[in-house]
Amino acid sequence: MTSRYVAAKNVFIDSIDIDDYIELNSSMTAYQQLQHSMDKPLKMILLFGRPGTGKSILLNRIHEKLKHQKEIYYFDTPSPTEKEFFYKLFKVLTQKELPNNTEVNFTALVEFCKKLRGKREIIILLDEAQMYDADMMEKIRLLSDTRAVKFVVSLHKTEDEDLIAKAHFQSRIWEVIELKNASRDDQTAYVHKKLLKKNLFEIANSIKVKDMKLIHQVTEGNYRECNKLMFTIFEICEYYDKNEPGKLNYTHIPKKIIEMAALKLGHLHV
Amino acid sequence: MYDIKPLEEQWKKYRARKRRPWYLFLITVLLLSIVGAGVYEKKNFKLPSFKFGFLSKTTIRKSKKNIDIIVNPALLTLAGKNVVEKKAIVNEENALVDLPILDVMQHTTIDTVPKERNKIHLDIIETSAVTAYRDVEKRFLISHDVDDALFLAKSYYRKGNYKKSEYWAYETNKINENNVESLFIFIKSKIKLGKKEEGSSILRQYIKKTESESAKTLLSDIENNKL
Repeated sequence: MTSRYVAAKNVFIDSIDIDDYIELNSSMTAYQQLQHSMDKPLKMILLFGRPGTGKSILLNRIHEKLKHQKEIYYFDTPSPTEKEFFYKLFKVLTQKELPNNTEVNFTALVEFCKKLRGKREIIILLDEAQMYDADMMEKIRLLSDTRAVKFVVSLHKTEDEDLIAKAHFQSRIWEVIELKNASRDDQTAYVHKKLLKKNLFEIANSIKVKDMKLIHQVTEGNYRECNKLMFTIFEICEYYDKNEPGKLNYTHIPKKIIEMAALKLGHLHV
Repeated sequence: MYDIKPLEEQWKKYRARKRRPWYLFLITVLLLSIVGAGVYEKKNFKLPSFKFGFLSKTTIRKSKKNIDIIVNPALLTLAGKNVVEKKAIVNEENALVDLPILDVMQHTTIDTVPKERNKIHLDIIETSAVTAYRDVEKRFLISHDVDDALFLAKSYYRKGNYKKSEYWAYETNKINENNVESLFIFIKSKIKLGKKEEGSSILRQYIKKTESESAKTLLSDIENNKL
């Protein structure tokens, strides 16, 4: 018989699947803020925050919601080379394949974009933009200056990357949206809603407020870390459920298991 | 699947480390309590007290219940003979207490927890009025004021009523074991009542305990019949 914890564990597999999106107060605010910014005549919007704060899933969600209303494209992973990036961009802008054995002429692409001004309004969502080098970012800026293409750039917030962002966009970014780690209430709602979405009521009820206090303390409200921790907690629960059920309390996740998971993931240290 | 056993071991170590500050805190509190108790004991070290009675004053004074004190005249005679060796067993519920004769009371109920009262000093220097002494005695039964008891002990001694001065000196000592004056009046009253050996014995024990010069002088006076 499959342990009940297997389903719970799988709920927390980290993904940016739109079906896994959980509407929380904070994420709703960020979503509305981003949507509002995209309606403004801005050239570039910077979305930044620490890894695991929900930038990718937010971009993904906004793409899914608006793709039938606007000309919006989501570049989820950075292209390994400049050539590939412009090939992708060429396809988006011209809606044609690049002929074989040819390369994109950047100057011609800029001129093409200038001609699109007023006719089309293209939004490109660039995830993991910290992977693009300075030259590439400069070209992206030049394309945005044509006002035919609007870029939403998602960046990890670290000290170095903040500097990169400053150098690249100091005078070009018109709007900055910062995503932060979840509050305890938001994280509690996140965990419970995720479990309830899969009809795991009993398991959701077994996670009490004080457990969430510890989980929030350990993960600092980071969604990705929370997913990892919850996955590990349920994996340990699954082990006990199968091998040593006496050590498991089905009405309440033992603090020991949360601490063991945190130790396993390196959030706690001996 | 995890190799869960090493993880459990790791968790046990983590828990032990997490609890360590609490253990240290508890040990510190314990040590501080012990040291504190030691210091308190030292601070409360008084001049050696000498309780010449055989009643535990705390039994009576600290009890929250009313205690019936039954005066047993039969025991009174014995009390005079072997004061130091005798120990009274005081039952909180029915305290059988042997006291010297008190004129007015044969069976008295007292409030064992004296209420805080504003003390009115009756500066009776010398009086012959019997009612004045009675008033002070009655007041003492309620207030248990050491000054009243000592006043009565001194007054009765001066008047030559040694039986009563012995009793009131004894009462004074019950309240304040460190009151040397009450001890001396008690001993002198014993001597005056012809109980020289008993009085001397008490005084010697006190000297042995305190090495008091004034007590030695008093013993010398007793031995040389200069009292």
